[in-house]
Amino acid sequence: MSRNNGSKPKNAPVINIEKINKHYQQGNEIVRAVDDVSLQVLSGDFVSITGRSGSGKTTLLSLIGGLTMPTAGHIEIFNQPLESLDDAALSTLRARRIGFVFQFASLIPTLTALDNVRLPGLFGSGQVNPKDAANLLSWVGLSDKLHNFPSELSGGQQTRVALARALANHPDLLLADEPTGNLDVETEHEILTLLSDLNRERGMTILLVTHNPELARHGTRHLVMHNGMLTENQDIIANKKVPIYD
Amino acid sequence: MKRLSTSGIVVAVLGLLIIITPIVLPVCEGLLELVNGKQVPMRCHWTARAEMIFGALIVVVGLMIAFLKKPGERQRLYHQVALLGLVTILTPLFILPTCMNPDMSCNVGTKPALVILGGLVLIAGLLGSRAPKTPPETIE
Amino acid sequence: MKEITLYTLALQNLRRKPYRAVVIGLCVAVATGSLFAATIVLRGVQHSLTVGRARLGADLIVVPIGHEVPAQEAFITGQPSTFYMPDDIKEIITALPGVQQTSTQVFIETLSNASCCIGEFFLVGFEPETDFTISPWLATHLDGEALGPFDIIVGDRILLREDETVIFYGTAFNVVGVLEKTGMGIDRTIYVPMEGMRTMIADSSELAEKTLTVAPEEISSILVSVAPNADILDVAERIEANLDNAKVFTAAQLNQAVGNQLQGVLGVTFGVTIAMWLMSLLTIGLVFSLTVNERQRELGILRAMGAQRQAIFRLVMGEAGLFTGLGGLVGLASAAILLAGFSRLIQLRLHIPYLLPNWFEIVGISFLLLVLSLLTGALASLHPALSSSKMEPYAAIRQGE
Repeated sequence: MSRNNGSKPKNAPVINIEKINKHYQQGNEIVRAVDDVSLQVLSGDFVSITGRSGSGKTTLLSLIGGLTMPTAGHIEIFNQPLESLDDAALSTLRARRIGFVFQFASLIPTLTALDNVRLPGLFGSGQVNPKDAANLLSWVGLSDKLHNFPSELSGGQQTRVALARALANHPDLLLADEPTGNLDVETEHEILTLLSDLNRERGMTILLVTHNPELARHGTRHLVMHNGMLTENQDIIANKKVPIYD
Repeated sequence: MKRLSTSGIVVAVLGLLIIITPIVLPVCEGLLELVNGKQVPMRCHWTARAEMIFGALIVVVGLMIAFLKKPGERQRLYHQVALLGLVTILTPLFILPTCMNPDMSCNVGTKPALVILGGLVLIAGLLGSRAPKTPPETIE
Repeated sequence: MKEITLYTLALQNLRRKPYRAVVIGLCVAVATGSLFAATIVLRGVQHSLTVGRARLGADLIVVPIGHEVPAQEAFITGQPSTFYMPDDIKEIITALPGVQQTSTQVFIETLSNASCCIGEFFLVGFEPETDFTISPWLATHLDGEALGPFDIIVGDRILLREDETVIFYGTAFNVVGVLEKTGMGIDRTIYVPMEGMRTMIADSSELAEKTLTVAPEEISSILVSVAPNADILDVAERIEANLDNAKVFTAAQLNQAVGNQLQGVLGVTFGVTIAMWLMSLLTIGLVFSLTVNERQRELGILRAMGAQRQAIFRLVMGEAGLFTGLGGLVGLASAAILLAGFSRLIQLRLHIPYLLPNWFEIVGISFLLLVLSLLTGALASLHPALSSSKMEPYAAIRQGE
């Protein structure tokens, strides 16, 4: 599923962040959504980031994906400094090498599941073959829902379609922002299992943002975001009890 | 009240317009005197009568479509709508043609209105009677 | 399986909001259709006047004083009218400087004639020796063969064709030719050689239901052709100065009479159309701003998938173009059908001449109006397209939360 599966050394840096900041004005205050964060993610890592709502984790993910620009600092994705890329180059990077999954699937309601998965082909390196799209949907467990419209699918099923869509252009990096945010517990675990399989079997580098530290167990690294700052959480990995953030 | 079929309502409205056309754009009012001295209405008078009847039939079929649930039943009725539309067009042109003089009121007003409305009914009937969407292609 | 393109996406978005599409489409359809109809009618009138005046051949028309309006009506729409003046006027006019040729005409209105068709027709007696209206046509169509006194030429809208016989006021006439369509009064006119006309008048007391009381020295009008180096208005003034009981009008005044009829109607139509166009622009702009606002998150996600700014711009503009383009097409088609069906009614109700412009012109006008409707969509959606394409993807995605 990853374009460079097998061709890239397993521990090559995929994400390299040095002291990035994202500040913005809110009334008279300056809000530091991301405050002096540095991070390195290697190929094959499955990094989960937890934290309270408003802690800056979504902003961090967006900075990594080039969906917004930092106020200060340096971000390199696949050894490309993002600040040196213009809109066209940034878009091409996202189209070919990064897949996104968001909390609300936001599928096009008048396209079938299959066509929604094929949509990224519009912006990537070519049309997504219907067979490939069907295979992706099979992999996420929706082989019988290819021609259903989003309104005919449950929330969990829509998220699976969104996941398949994120993988349509064979990205090397998957950024998932609260993909299970509005789903029930059982479905949450199903989705996370898919992500784990993706990481374990196909070597996909994954960055997962979630409010639920229980789900963070699926990752190989667990980071915590608090007031714009990032810390490594050894307690989760050591299987100790931690509070659930809302 | 369950949702009515919009297209059925549209067909019924077209039928209503056909009925009122000879009222809004009247045919020739004069009388013809026959050889035996008897006075009869001009032939466009009968054209108008016939068209009003077809209009009423279109209204009825349109309302039936509006209230029916099953697509299969509706499809059959749409065939009838198309046929009625065709008859509405052909009547003033060939079946019960209007007067010869092209400047008479039946030819400048009534006939074009009826032909256009008949055309719209025909199109509605043809569109409505299309087979339901075929199942999507299967991926092998 | 078909490709997914920006066009597919735009089309899908049209299907998502059908009522919105209908509202926008309808605004544009009505504006485009009205403008098309008004333009074609105007061009049709101009075309008819050009063709009709060429057929008429005369620069000036002299009629009895007080009968200018019915005379103009007769020339424009063929509405029959009868009035008479003494024929010695012709000699006076012919002698005036600047007058090249004159020819007299006598007007008679037929009774409703059941054997031919229902309706009154306009009989115009003309002098084959001096006439310059029908003669050019005769030269080209009948090889200049001399007309018998009872050989008649009919206009296009008369329900008679060549070699048919018809009886007017008890006298039989033969149809030897049918004039081409002009859209003007000539189409409803029957041209009768003066000798035949005078015979019919004289015999009407015996043969017809109604006796015609036109004296042999009475005429209805004199057609005047002005010398090439003379000024038409000068000659017209000269004629009126020399005559007490006659009035002159020029072919240009004929145009003006038509123009006056049209001015009110077309002025209102164009005014309404322009107002509708502006309203469409505002409506579409508003609807698209709302639409784009609602879909910020979706557009942000498209950006996350790799869509460049210009792709978003093209998507929004493309949707607007699709809505307005389709609306324009529907408007043009509807207007064309309605015009084709009701042009005669419009002509009769507005008392205007009308001849369909040539196809090249119609296609050209349609194309221009279609481009205008597409531009309307582009203009109206420019701001929403620009703002949505410039928005940072992150901000767009968060906006929907």
